[in-house]
Amino acid sequence: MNENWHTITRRQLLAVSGLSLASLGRGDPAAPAPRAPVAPVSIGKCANYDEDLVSLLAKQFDQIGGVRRLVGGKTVAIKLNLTGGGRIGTYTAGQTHWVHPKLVGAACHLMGRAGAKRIRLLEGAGRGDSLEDKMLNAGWDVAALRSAAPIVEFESTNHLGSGKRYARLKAAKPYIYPAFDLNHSYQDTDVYVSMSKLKHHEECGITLTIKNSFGITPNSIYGNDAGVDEPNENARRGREAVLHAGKRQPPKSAPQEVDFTSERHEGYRVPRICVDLTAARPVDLAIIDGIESSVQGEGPWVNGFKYANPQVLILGRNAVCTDAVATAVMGYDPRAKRGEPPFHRITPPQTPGAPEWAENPMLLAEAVGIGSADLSRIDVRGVPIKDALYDFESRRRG
Amino acid sequence: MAPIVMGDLRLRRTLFQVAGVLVLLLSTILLARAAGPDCWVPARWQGGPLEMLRRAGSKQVLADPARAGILRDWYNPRTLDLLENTPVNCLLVTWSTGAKADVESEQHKLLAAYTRAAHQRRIAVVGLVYPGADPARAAAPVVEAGLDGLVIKGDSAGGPQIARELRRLLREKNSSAVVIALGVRDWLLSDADWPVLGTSGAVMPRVRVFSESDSVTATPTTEPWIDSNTWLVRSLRAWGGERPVWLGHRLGNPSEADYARAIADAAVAGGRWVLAPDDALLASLWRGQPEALATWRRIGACLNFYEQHAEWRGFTPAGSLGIIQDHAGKHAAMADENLNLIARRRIPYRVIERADLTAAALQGLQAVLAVSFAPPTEQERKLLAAFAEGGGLLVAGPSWNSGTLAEGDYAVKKLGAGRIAVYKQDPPDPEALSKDILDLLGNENLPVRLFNVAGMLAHVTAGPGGRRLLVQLVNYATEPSGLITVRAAGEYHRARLFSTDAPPADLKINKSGERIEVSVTKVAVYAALLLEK
Repeated sequence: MNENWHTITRRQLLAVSGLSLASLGRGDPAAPAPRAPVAPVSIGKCANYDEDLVSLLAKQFDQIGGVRRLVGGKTVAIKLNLTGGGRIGTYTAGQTHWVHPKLVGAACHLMGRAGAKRIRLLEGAGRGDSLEDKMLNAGWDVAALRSAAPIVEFESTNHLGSGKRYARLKAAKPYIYPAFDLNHSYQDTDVYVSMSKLKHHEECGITLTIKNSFGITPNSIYGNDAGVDEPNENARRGREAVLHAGKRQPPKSAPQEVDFTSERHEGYRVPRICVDLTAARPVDLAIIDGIESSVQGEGPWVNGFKYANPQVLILGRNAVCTDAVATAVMGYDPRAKRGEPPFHRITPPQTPGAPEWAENPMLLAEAVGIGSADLSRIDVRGVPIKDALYDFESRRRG
Repeated sequence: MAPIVMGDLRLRRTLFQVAGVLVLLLSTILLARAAGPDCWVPARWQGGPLEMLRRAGSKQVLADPARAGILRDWYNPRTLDLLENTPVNCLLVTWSTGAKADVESEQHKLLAAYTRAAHQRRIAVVGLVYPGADPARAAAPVVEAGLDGLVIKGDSAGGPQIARELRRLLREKNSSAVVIALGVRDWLLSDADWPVLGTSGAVMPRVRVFSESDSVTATPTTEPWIDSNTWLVRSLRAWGGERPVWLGHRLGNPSEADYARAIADAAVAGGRWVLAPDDALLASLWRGQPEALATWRRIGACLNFYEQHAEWRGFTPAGSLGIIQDHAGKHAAMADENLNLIARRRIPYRVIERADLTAAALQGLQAVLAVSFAPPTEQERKLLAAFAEGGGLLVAGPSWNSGTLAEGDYAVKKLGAGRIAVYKQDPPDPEALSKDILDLLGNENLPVRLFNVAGMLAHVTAGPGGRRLLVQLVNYATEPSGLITVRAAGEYHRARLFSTDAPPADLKINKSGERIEVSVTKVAVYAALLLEK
């Protein structure tokens, strides 16, 4: 295949893709969508981050067909999962609710070795900080990461960043938003990697690579203090009002919701928005860090949050398939419906009587053809699911 | 030449002898009292029969009955041997508790002998006076016992009154013994004659544990809650001038690291924690247990470190934020919280006494927090407005509002080349304010920024002439820190790391834009980074 074809059409497709609302045909999210693509998923076992992650990751990359063709000569953007901050006890954030710097370093090193021209690490850093500062604040050796591959860059995607304008990426079959204005880094790349943690989420049940997309939305546009007409580059607040609850719209300069009368409950909205984002910014490689993790929520601010050690690393070329396998490794049914474990609130809602269910984002993604969540169709390589199983629910309950 | 008369010779010899004795006596007294309160390194040194009675009376049960005997005999002069190789030169002994006269008298006799022995080692002795003590009975034997001072304990409002009475009684006896407070902070503010600003209103420095599993749980800000007294020392020093600050709190079941932390927590801001060895340690020291002696040596080494670097106490706080303090303001508790929480956000600041508010005091600042006093006088208003107009940020309360405030906790208005952020609430919530200050000021305007320091606080000061910047780090967690990055504005060419248990080491300086960065690999309890231009 012509490599240039891949490069040119990938970026151009992102710029011009989009179908009319009339062509939406999502159907019943619970029934497997026969045309949803599948891709192999690799499971690896690893006790902790002091083991040889480079060898393990290299082996797992091989199991899914290698990464040389994927990244050779390309710009690779890796969206990390560095939610919030904080820590519990003596554990670092990378041991509980962030992807671990050693895994990030190993991935950069291997992609560099495979010929990646440039690797750009992406995540939102709060309070106007740079991504490097966010990492420094968690004790990461940023200098070591920078030298893990020939060119490693960092960008906080909560704002315009180093770009001159936001990139508008469209979802083919949107649930909530037909398109998103995002930091340029999500467009100015040939390969997009979603690297997430294997963990619970207080409102949505679990958070994996589809949910990792939520963080690509800039606070300047989707934050509570986003501008009314234009983005607010000094925005500091979270996204609850715009994305979670739909209490307000993004600035008028950005694409608005397709249906202002739709359900405002976050268990309805957040999974759908994540799927819209995954459709708008397709994932070429999904990596889920479950070597050391946590249960009960996405960060130490969730009551009852505690350390867990699933000892697994899961990756694949399709985010839905990878998330489905990861969900099974967590001991859950990837085809569970809303309200069934894990798709419900973990802690009681703040407003008594508010809904406690969340949608299954994998089924939503399957319904719009992003990938299949049917385990019977997914080729699992490396360690079988049954040997990698780590019962998150029983550990959450204590 | 006139003949020498034998009588004259004898007289001269006698006069010489008397003069010699007087000189010797004076020298002894002067040498023994060479260190005044400003040089005292204090330690609680409580024992004797009166202390035993005080413990029984206040239901402080001794865990080990054998310790009762040790406590009773503590004023055996051999316990002074423990102070060799430590800088401790002021002992706080149990002096007066309001107990029966015969018990107090026995204690005073014991302490008279002990004080003589202490003075020979140039150690001052001050007597603790507890609530219920009779000032006259407390003061009367001070001269005979040779005490260097009395320390009033307690939390009632009557402390200053008792102090004045004690001073009067001591003056009547021509005693130069000083009277020090170690009670509630309010005592300090209502009496200007304290030679030492001492208070027991301090907390055990540590990261606060909330969860049942004994692990530190993140608070809603995702940072651990740190109990620290550094802000209190800074507040008192800003108010009290050159007078030493003592913190008199005890530690609960302390480890060696807890001692080091308590010493550091006060020392970084130029204060002193009154070393308070716990009963278990004292008992082990009495028995000569090697482990306890080693622990005691290391505690002594900690204390010695700060005395060896006494010059650092004279460094001035470095910060782009000035916080105006007014102890007579109506929201004193909130004002304290502002100092505490802004320090916890690791925003370096200077405390400016309201009485010292001048244009010169605001020099070099980028922001001023003026919410603790309201309303400002006309002159103060002009001064602060001029500061903002000149490009600074003024954070003020609702008395500065000249119109309707927008939604939110505060509104920012342009004022000349600068800004004024006016809060709606009086006073604003300290937690929100500390967060807002960082947003308003911007990380890029902090002279020093620290990374990966959850569980740690820093105190930043500058040497004379601004050629040296001192960043003192205290780790309040029980585990050593991980990799810390210190980023500072300025062209520094040397970075030297000091700690209490290792020789100084030069660290590599990396450039980061117009700033420099230094990595510190691990901090157990305390470290000081000295940057030099």
